[in-house]
Amino acid sequence: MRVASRLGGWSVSVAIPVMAALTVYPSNRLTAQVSLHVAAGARYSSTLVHDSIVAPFDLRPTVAPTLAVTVLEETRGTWTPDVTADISWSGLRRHDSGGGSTRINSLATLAVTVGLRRQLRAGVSARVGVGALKYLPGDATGIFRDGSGVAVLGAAAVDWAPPAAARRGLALTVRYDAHRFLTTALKTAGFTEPHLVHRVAVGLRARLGAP
Amino acid sequence: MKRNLALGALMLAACTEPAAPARTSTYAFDVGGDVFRWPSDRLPVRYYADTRGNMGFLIGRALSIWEDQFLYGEFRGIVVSDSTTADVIVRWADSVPPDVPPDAGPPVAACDGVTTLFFDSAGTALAQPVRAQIRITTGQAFTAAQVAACLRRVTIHELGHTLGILQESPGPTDIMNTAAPVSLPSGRDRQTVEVLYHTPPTIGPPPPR
Repeated sequence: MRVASRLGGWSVSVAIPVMAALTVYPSNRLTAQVSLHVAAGARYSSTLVHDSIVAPFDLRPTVAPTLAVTVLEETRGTWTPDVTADISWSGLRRHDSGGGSTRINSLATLAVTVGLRRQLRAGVSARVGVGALKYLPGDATGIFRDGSGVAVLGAAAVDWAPPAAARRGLALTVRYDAHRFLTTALKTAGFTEPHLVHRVAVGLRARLGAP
Repeated sequence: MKRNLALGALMLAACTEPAAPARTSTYAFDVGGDVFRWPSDRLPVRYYADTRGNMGFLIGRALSIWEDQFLYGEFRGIVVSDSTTADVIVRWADSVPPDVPPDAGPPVAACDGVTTLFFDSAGTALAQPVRAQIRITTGQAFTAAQVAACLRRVTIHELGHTLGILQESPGPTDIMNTAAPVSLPSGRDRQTVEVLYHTPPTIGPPPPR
C-alpha cells in the first residue's frame, strides 16, 4: 500500500496527518476492513506532583483498572492505523516522605490516541501513537480546582498473542504512555515546570466479532 | 567524548525534577511553640453553625474558601446540624444581624469575633470542641450591609483560628490580621496554612464525639 511505504521512513510530520485522515475519513473500500478490539487491565502511573512543604511528598494515582477500545484498520501494509480510546479509574493519594499516605480524591483519565501498528514477528505487534489526555477528578478541588486542561500524550504498546490465544482473537498487551502534567492551580501556587508522568498498563486484549 | 558528555547533560536536564515553589512568605501560627491542626484522620472537621440568621451560610462559605487554599486535600470541613457531634461550634455572641447583601464600600469594623480552645489538664490536647463567637459591634452605628460585609471577613478570620492559625498575622493585607481590610485570604495566609498542615502538631484534637 502506498501510504505504508511512505510511512516506513518514520516521518512523523507526514505520518500523523495521513494516519488521522485515514482514520477519520476512511474510504468505502477500507470500511469493511475495520476491526474492533477491547482491552482490560490495570495501570500504574508515576508521580503527578512532587512538592515539599516542611518535608517532601508525592501525589500519585493508585493502580487503576483500565479499559481501552481500539478501532483498527486491517490493511495489508506494514503499518496499520488505529484509534484508541482509553479510560482508567483510580484514587489520588498523597505519599508523605515519612511513609504515610492519604487518599485525597478520585481520578479518572480519558485518553484518545491515533496510532500505527506493525507486526514485528509472528504473534507480536507493536504500536506507536499520539493523542490527548484529560484528567477527570471526582472533586474539582486542590490541584484540580481551576480545571485540569488537556495534555498531549505519546504512547507505545506491544501485544503478544500466542497461537492458541490468537485463534480466539486474544492477546496480552502492555501499553506505555507519557505526558506532561501541570494544572492552573499548581501554576498559581508557583509551579513553573510540568512534571513528566509515565503510565504503564498491562492487560488482555480481545478482538470483537469474527476475524 | 565531549559530545557524549553534552548529550548526557542534556538528558539530565530534560529529566530534572521540576522545582517545588518555596513557601517562605509565612507568619507564625503556633502558641508558645505549640502547634495545633486537625489531623487527616479527623477530616472532615464538623462545624456546627448557630441556626439563627445566616450563620450557616457564613460558615459554609468560609469553609469553602479555606479549603480552596490547599492543594493536596489537607483540610476539609462540613457543616453539621447537631452541636453534640461537632468539632467546632460557632455561635452569635449576642444579637443576630439581618441577612442582607454585603456593602461593597470600604471595610469597616462593624463586627468582631473570638475563638477559644480548651486544653486538657496535661495541656497536650483539646478537651472539648473549639468554640467561636461572632459579635456585632454596638459602639457605632453601621448599616446592615456594612455589618454583612464585616461578617463575611470576620467569619473567615475566626475559622482560620479554628484551623489552627493561633496567632494574628502582622501583615496588613492578610485575612488573619486583626483589622484586615481584605475579604479573602492572601498568598501569605495560604502559604501559612499550607505550612501549618505539614507541620507535626504538638496539641491533639478534642476527643471524637
